[in-house]
Amino acid sequence: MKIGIGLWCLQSTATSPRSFTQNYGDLIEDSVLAEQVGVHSLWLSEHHVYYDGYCPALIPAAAAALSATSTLEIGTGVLLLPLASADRVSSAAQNLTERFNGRFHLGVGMGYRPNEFAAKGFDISDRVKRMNTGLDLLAQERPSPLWVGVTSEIAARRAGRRGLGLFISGAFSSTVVNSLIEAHREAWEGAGSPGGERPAVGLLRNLWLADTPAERRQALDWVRSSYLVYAGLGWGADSTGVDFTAQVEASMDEVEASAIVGDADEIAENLASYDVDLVVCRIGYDQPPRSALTEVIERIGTELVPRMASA
Amino acid sequence: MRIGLDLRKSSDPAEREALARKADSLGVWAVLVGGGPSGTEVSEAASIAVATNNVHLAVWVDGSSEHPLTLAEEISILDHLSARRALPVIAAEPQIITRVQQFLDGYSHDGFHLVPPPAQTIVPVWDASEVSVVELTGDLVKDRVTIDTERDSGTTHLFVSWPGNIETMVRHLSTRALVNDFPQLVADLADALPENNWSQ
Repeated sequence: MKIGIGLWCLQSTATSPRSFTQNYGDLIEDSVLAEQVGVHSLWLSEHHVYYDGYCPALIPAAAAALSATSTLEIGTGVLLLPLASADRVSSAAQNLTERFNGRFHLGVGMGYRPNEFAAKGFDISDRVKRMNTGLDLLAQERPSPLWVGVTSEIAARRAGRRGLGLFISGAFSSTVVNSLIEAHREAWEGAGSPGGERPAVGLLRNLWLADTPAERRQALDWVRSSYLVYAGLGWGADSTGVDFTAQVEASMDEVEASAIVGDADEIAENLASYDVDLVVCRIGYDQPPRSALTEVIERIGTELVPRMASA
Repeated sequence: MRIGLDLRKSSDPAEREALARKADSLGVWAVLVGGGPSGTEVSEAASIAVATNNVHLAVWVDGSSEHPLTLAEEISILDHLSARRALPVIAAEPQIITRVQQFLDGYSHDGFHLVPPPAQTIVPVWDASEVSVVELTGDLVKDRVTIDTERDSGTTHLFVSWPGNIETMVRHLSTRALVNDFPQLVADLADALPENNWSQ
């Protein structure tokens, strides 16, 4: 099982205001550190026209991180495909693949926030159609390893029948995660196993390496507060127990219940229970001081990566 | 007149990056990249941003195939990645270019603002059809005439492609471009100085 880190969103929030320019400089430093300690990949995330400046342009950010490193892989987790020209995204991904020896991963998602579609001149009711058209183009051109971010079994099937990888949210319980993986696999097999090899599954998990009870509580509070941004964005997913539009506290409880906070052995044991190819440790929270973030990147590389190498 | 180095003639990204590093170390005002497939331009400029410290990143962007907000978002992120060195050169209809400039300047369109705003207070958005670009020959006698003509006709910023080594271009032409009474004697004598052999 490969171990990556995410999500780098490059925000300046109401809870933790900071310099955007500093954020992008930190992205480069974090990428270099992740590479040094043996982390497989670093994943970026996208939104648009949101007050906190949540990164709206992942390809340039990925290019910068790839340029600063030589073995670390960089992924988009996820780029919102219906908001962009799929042709242009494919060209950009192909360009990064060629320039950086296949170290770029293109994860795409559909998006859910009406304002983002309106700002780009699209009707949100067209999003499934635009997503499908974009996925068909990417499945045909295969500009880089492809992953599809999903929040429903329908979306997991959409990825599976095209032979595309699955990228699963950090907010969901193991029950929901396993149902998405199953739907993805069934759809792939039902479509005649396109590509011949089962498409990869990547899983985001909220986690933190912590030793004392006080540190563990602190880490769980960071996990909870990191979802304030999604409450602001109005994110929710049917039938998953996570809906920040209607049930903020209950959704935070659900997220906290699936977070994995503990020492490397505890985390490794939990992660090994998932049938996935890649785990992206979601550590890009809003509130931890920078020293805590760099420490957890080091610990993931030196303690967790070796434990998961044979899983 | 300032001279920027047009790197678009090189087809090898690694060579373009090496040239940009050299230009950066020699104090060249800007490098011009882009012009490849739509969507790849700002990404290449972002790579050069990481490899350099001071040179401005003029990026030739096809503005015809994406929403102006998307273009402005990419440029804003480049401006942060480069710590205030983004200089977009956009090939598109004038109203598209104006819209990108308005987003970067902080104006809204249909009620939507660009977030994050760029790092620079004002990011200059240049119309590709109005940017001065010349191909120099490497023959300094001819190229001096080209530079003098551009400068004296009122060009303020000129992108040049240059076939020789960048030190020569900077010594003889970047300098000459700045004033209309460049003492050519200094550049010629500098060429004749013995190599600097100081070592610690």
